[in-house]
Amino acid sequence: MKLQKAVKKQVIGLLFASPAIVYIAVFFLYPFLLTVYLSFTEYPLIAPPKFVGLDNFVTIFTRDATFGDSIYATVIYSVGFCLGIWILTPALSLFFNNKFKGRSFYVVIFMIAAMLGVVPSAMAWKVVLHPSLGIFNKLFFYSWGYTGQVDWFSSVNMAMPGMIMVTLASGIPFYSIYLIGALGGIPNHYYEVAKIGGASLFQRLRYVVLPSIKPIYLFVIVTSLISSFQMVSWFFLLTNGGPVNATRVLSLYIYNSAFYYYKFGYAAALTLVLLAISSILCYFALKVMSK
Amino acid sequence: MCRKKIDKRGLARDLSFNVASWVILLIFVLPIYYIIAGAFMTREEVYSGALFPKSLNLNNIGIALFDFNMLHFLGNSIIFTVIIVVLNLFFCALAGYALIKFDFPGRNILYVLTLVAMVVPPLVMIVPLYLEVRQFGWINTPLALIIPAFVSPFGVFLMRQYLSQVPDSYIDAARTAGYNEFEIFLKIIIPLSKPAMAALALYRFLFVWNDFFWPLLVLTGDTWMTLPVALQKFDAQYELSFYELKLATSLIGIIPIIILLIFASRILLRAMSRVGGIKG
Repeated sequence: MKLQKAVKKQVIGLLFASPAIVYIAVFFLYPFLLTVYLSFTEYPLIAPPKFVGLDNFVTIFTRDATFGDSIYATVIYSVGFCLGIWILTPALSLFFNNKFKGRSFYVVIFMIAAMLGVVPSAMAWKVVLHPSLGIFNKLFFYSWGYTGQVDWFSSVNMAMPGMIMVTLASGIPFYSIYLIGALGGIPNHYYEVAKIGGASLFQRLRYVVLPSIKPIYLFVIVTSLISSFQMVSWFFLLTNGGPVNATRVLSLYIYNSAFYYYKFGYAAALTLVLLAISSILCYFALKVMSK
Repeated sequence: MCRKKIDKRGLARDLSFNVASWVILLIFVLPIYYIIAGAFMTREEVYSGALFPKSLNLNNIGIALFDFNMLHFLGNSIIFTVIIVVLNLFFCALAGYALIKFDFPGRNILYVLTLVAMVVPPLVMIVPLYLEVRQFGWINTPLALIIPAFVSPFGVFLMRQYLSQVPDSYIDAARTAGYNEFEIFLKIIIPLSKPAMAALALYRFLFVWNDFFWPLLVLTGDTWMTLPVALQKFDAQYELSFYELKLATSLIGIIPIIILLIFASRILLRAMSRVGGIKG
């Protein structure tokens, strides 16, 4: 009787979990294994995949100049984006953790900026960052007497800084939400006790704030690192890799290989390279940071 | 906030924090501001880089919605977002409930895979997922968008975490009262998990509403195209022109986000601070 009940409970549990099991199997495990398989094939979509062994990887690392360009662009972008997030996110979160009149208004605006959506944002930035007519250059350059032209997105030198700035403008608010939430969770009496005990601002940061947000800050570091390799939509919308490959990051190159050149096997191999690079970096980031 | 005496030092402090907030927010607000302002500007104003619209004319929004058919794409976006969010709520709650309150073969494997699926970046999946969906014959049908999103790994994780607070005795009591297992889920578990479901609904709404890359690949025909993709196609087709209409369309696209966050920012804050529970 009791055994029967236990078996029944197992069956019910399995039944309730089955949609999720099907989902994970069909839309996570299988596609992942498919990527691994396809990376050893040549697959132009009109013919079935043809096994080519390690050819794709050999091409990537020895013959493909665009891959070299894309790694260079990815590294520049990733360093710029991650440094921005890692430094400015905690700084701004701490600022918005102060209690003052109107604070929640600004936090809501910050959250809207975080969740704006890549396509509307890109449309706005195209207008705002227009070299001669956009209000950004007017506000920050021309009205201060600068006479040169600042060509965001269309000059080789400014395209990448432009992309870093634009993605930080949505990335910083996004990651700050995590930290603002975590900081809000620190009980007030912690600060009070520290204050009464004569702790300086730096000591309060070091011994009260930092330990309690450390897990979520680590989370921010790792997820921002991963996502810095994933910004394909932004690059697709704003520069599409140009000018002359200056912003053809690896994620965009994967998209180009698959959906523009129809080299699905090659794109799968590039995907695995990207996954390997980001996993290794995350491993080191976690190792260094969790000390 | 009722102070009997106006505290001068407090006032100065509030004022300086407000000024500092505006300085900090300036760059983050720029795109939001220009979408709103530009949507009401005339073409000449947008193309001369005006800061404010001279008058609030609704022409751009009307032209975008009706002459360029954005109303249809807006409708598609609403339909897809609602369907996916509802499916996510139901199936994530169901799976989260099973993971925390039932013991079944493969439970731990499912949980670990859910966590991995949460962390593995979506881009890694895009090439094989596209091939899979193409094989199923779903390209340019609503299924291509809905089925690969009917469960959200983050949602399963969130519901499992939340339901761990529900005492087993509630469920046992319902069993003794003669409820069957599915009734327990519908009548006990779902009402109990309302706060977590609200957070999940908001989180998923924002992501599905804004999703651009996947719909761009699988829904290329006019019938089911979503608003962000339609806007991008419009932008690509008329490069450098009609920016007043593009900004108006952007405004249509961000209004739901603005309204939701004005009323429910706390819920989102709670949802996102919960992920800190997983270690890296």
